Amino acid sequence: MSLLEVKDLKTYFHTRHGVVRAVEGISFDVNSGETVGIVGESGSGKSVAACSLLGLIPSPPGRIESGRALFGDRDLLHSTERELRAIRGKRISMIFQDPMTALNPYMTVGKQVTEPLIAHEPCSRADARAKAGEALVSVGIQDAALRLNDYPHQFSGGMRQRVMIAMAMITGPELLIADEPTTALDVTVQAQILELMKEMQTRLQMAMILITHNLGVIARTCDRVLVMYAGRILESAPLRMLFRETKHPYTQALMASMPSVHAKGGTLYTIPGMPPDPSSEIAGCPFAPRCAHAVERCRHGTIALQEVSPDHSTACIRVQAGEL
Amino acid sequence: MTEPILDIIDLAVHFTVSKGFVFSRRIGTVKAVDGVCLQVERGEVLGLVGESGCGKTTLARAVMQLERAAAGKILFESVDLRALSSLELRTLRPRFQMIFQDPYASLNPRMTVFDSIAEPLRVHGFAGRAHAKEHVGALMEQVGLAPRFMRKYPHEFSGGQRQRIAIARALALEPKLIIADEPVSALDVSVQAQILNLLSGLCKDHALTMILVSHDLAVVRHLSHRIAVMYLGKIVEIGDAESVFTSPLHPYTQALVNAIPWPDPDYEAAREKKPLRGDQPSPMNPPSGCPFHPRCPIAGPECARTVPDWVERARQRATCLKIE
Repeated sequence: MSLLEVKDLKTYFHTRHGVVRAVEGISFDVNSGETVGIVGESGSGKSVAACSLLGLIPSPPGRIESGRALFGDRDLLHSTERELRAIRGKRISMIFQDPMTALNPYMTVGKQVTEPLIAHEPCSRADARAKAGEALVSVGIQDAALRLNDYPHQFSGGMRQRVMIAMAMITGPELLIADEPTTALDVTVQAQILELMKEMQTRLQMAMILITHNLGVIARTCDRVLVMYAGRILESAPLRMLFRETKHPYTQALMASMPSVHAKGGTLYTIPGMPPDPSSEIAGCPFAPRCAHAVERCRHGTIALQEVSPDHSTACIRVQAGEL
Repeated sequence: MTEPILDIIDLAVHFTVSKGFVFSRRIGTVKAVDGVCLQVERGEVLGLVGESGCGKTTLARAVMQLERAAAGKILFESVDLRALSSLELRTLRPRFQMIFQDPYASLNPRMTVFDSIAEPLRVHGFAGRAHAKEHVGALMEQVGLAPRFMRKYPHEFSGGQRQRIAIARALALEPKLIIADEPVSALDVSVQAQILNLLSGLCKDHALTMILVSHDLAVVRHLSHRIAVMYLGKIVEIGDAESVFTSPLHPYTQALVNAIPWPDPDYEAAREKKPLRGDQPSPMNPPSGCPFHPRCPIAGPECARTVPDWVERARQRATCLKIE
């Protein structure tokens, strides 16, 4: 049974300069305990999709145009703010990219880590504090009891992200949404944080949606991957299948444009052109103008994500027709 | 062997840290660059890697004379840049140029592309007004921009295109040495590949010498002939790019290579991950002995006492006591 079932989610921003179609009808499932990676370049709509699930889209200008997101028996997209508040930080937690802006600089770390507990559970302050201490220990912060009284600026970037993780995990959520959790960190710290997140996930038996632009981070942590481009999912597959039998020309191009581990290559593959402007409606495949395999058919109608081999879906009509 | 184009001898750059605003007092010194010796051969691409705060950008800026060094020599084509008057320095400036990280900040928003690229030509009296237009057009073509965009302003371009403008400006004076400070880290993956290809092509075509500063070891390995690894203001390992990458000597380089997540799930699953402990110490009071010893997996008691000397190998050298 899937833990979260997203169907045809559309999020638009209605700005003075027109409608920005940030998320254009995406559907995916997340099973309990698994890690789903969403990979895409900036502006592909991956963060907006995640924020839409938790009702974190500023409205106006943002509006969820259509879709359902079934989490247990509840539709997250059609829940009241009150109902969402009971879920956010309790059953679904989120970690953001920049731990400095996500933490409140005026509140001690202890206060912030205990906040979700106090908000969601009948819990005394002393108990909450004890649990916060344990949570900080479990994410590898030394002298946790003392550091509860410190402010975020007294922590390094990696430590702040650990605090964020402690805060997200303290209520034992069923689903964690991590939006570029390591992008602001150095590689050695990134490696620490990714290890920590995996460890916590196994311990709590929790599902995770990991949003990143880095295919390396995907390869290190995920079970299943969604590739997003221009607000759509272009390919969805289990991790190994995605890397071994890459179907969609965009995913292929993305992989070819990264320096490889095995050999020092000459020239890197580059994708010609630029991503489409999200404020204009796109007919056909959004990648068609940059695609080496595009034909006339690619530029018309709507192209849906379709299964082309067991568990592997792509939104390329030429792959679907068996031509590529 | 011919003489190196750049010979840095015992360079030190210090920043004083003060506290208080009105009655400010010195509370310490950050040794951002601490006794660095580095030789750059004519025509090579030298990668300078390290994590944030290791001093790589400060070193680059000190070579450019944008930062005042506390001690040491910077011999550029056998002339000590630190000993020159500002007038003498200005006559040498055309020979070494810099490309900055953020193309949004490094271009003047109120100057057209033409003005930005022609400014160095004008300042150094390279071309008359009529001639300048041709010259700028040719430069724009070299970096893959259509000369018809000459009269546009930076905000009309994407990040990748702006970085191309910044590269054209750096090339305008036909420099011998280019220092590129994180030239692709502000860009998306697919655009990053375009700029990396452009830089590597330019270096070959113009027989340029380049110092490529980056936190991304994969990018550096892709472009460089040699790699220097910095930690807390010191170079800890330097050598042939492939050797440093595939068989690193210094435990820090090993950790750095191990921490990179590669877009290859099989490779990621197969290898042992050894995340480093802790964070980089504050450069205000660096550890005694080897600066890496508090985080080093193989450090012994002697590492805290003795400053390690260079250990030479065939294709690389490193400062570590534990190398047999």
